[in-house]
Amino acid sequence: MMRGYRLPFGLLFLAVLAAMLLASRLALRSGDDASQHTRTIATFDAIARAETDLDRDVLLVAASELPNYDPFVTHGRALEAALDGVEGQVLALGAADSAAAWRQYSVLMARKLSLADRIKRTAAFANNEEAYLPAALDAYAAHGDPVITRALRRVLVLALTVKLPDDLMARLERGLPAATGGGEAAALAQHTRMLAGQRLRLRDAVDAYFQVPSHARMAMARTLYMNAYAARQDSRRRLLKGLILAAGGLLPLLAGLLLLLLRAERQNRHALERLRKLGTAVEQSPIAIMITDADGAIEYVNPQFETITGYAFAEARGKNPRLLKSGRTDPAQFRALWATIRSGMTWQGELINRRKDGTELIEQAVISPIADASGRITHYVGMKQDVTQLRRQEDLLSSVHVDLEQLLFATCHDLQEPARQIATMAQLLEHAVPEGLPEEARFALQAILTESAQLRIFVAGLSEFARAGHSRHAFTDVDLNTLLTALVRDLAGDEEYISLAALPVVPGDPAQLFILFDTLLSNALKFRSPERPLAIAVGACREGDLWRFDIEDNGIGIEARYLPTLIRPFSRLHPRTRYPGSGLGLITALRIARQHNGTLSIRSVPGQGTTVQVWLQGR
Amino acid sequence: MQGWRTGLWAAVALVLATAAWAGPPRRYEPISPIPLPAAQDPARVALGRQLFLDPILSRDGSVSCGSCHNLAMAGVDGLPHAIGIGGAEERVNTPTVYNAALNLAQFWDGRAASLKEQAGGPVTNPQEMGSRWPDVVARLEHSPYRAAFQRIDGGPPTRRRVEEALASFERTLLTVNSPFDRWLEGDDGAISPEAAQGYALFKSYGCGSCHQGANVGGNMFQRFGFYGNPFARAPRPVDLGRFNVTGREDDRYVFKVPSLRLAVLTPPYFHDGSVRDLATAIRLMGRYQLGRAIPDGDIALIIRFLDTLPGAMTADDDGAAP
Repeated sequence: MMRGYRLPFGLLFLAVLAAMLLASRLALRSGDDASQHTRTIATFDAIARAETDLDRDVLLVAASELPNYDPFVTHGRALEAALDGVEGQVLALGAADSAAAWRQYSVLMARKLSLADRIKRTAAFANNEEAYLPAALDAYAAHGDPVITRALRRVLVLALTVKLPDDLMARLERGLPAATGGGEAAALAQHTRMLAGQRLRLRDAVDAYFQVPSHARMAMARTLYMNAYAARQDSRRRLLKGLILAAGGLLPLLAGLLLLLLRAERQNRHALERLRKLGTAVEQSPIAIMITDADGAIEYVNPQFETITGYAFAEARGKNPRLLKSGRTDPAQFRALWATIRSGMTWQGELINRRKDGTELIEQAVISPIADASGRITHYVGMKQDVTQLRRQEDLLSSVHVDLEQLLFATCHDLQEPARQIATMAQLLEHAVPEGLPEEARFALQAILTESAQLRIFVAGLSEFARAGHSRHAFTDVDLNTLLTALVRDLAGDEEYISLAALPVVPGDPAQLFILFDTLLSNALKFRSPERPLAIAVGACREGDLWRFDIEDNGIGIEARYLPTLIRPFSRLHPRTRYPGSGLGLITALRIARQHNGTLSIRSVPGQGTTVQVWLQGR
Repeated sequence: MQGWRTGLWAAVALVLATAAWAGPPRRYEPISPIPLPAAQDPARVALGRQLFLDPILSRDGSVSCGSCHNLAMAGVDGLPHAIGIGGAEERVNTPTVYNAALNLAQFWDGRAASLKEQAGGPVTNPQEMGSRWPDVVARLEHSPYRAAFQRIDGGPPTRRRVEEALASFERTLLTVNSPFDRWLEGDDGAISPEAAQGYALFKSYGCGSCHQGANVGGNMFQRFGFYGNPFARAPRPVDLGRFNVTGREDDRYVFKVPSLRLAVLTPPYFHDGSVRDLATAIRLMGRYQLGRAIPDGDIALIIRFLDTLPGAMTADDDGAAP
């Protein structure tokens, strides 16, 4: 028993050793980081200092207080040198955000330096003019035009002291001499204009320089770095602490492990006990059970599975259930099966498989996925019942049914001929017998005529009923427009009391559908009201997968209490003599509708009309 | 934020307004003495010097840095445009290599921010040395230089190391201890009274607004041509100056202000070397930059001042081109 613990003990010991090593390495790394951090902060300070120096240089230049521009060069180089390394330093401590901020800062500083260049040259020029112009003006005033002198002075003072709106400046400049007023005045005017222009540019450049948000960006870059460094130190400290704790907790942990292992052992025993019970249930289940992993490889099958498929557990293990495939199950069904269970749901259905001996195995199967705690599917469980025998019996039943129908159909067919013969012969007889026939004989003859006609109708109805029970034809697309137009022409000729809406194309048996609509329209014709002209409307509308057809008439109608009886075989509401028929019309129509995955219902108001609604499967 | 700036502007305006009526403001000296070179690894400086003078860097071994930056000729070639390998002619005038370390950027348009960046430029310029770096490095690999790089940089020659060596050498090329620098430091007898008068004129005309600092220029960019068009013909691409680097409209016709430290020794003048004599250059600068006509007498005095600017040229022994 103790041998089982040797490995975890060894592992734990190694883990503690590793933790101690890692801790010492971390401590060293932390020291490296700290010195790197100090260097980085020094770089930040150097950058800040260089920028402050540059800012001061710019202010001094703007105030004409910088004797020469050498400090710019020095400070610019200091900035460049410090900026050169900052990104790498910051990245070395994992502060990518800060590196990006420093990159943006560099862009801003490039802008500031370029503005500083402009400030330097504009200021240099303006300083010259400011030194020269007042003296030059004084010299001109001594002998020149006083009006021009005044204009020049005014522009000069305004240009030097206040920032004038552009239009005012333009108006003042118009007062200056252009080319007229002598060479000296014109030159002075040009100098004044140049000065005013350069002063304006200088102010704009200084404004723009101090509007560059480089300080804010630097503060941000610093903060981002500080945060990143603090987080790094924090996590490292935590890690270090954790490692030391882990290393320090060697003995209690080892003891704890021992206890845990003992308890786990005990729990395992309980779990095994429970599993054994479940296992027994599974083993003895009358339902075949198959468990596969997520990839479909068989992990377990129970004895019932072995019995119905003929494959032993050892043979099936590791194989794919494809093993059982017969090729007779529709591939689409397999696709649906996998789609269902992969999405975590249970699939139920029938599969046609093959046993080991090659015989067919029809299974009623329930297949479910098993997910682990995270929702990932780890296994599939299939529970199957062998329904091969059941299906065979059903087939047998169905073939008996077909035989019966065929018998019925044959019978009808055979009966039709004698019935027709009787009717024909009775008519012949009626014409052939002399006038002086006794009254009873005449009555009997008349009865034969009537009953034989009824017999023909009845046999015809029976034959249609037999046909409606089982579709002999594969469904094809039936254009009901064509079908009903022909039918209406047959029934009504040129009279236009039947109106047809636009009708769809539905899948079906054309012969059966003909019988269906023939029956319904004939009924409407038959049960017309003597009080008003007949009107029949056939409409169609889509209802989900189905088409609903309304055959609406304004005939005599049916009383509500009779409605349920209408679709029983041989039910008649009216005496045969008044409305001849087989009594099989509606039940045949219903059977046909059902054959087409639909149904039929009747609504009626006595004395006003009847609406028959037929649903047929759509495309 | 807005408040103190408004205040500042008010102060600036006040100062300027006073200045406008109270005559020229009190000015600091715009020029300062050239500092001594910073301490560097002497071995690397020596290597840089050797490379500077060795045509090994050029494609066909015909041209060295020193061919155009002739150390014995004030660091220039004396030609309007440099002549490179196969007699190819550059389009701009060669600036002196002396005191280049003081410049804010290198080349007339300032396209290299530092000497280190500049040093490699002419090596691959088809009009200058016409080399490709991999070829240069390969040539150095198979030469005694390999050992020198190994000793100094602890590795084989690379582009970076070549540039660093050249830059190290160039940083030592400072013309210290000029008469004018001594005058600035209080030696009244270091320059003649005429030179001192020339300096006063230099400042009062406004030359010193741009040609200032230790290098008497080189620490700023300025537009060429405030008053009238200084370009003889329609502007050529080289006349666009810094615009070629930044693409900003504002930088059209803007150039690095050249140093006047060795101006008296380095004709011809301007970016295209189009003016041969110094007096003409000063006259043209007065016209186009200051909008003023400087009398010949003043020009002569200014030249006397410029004469006092060159200092010791430390590398004047074996600087002749091979």
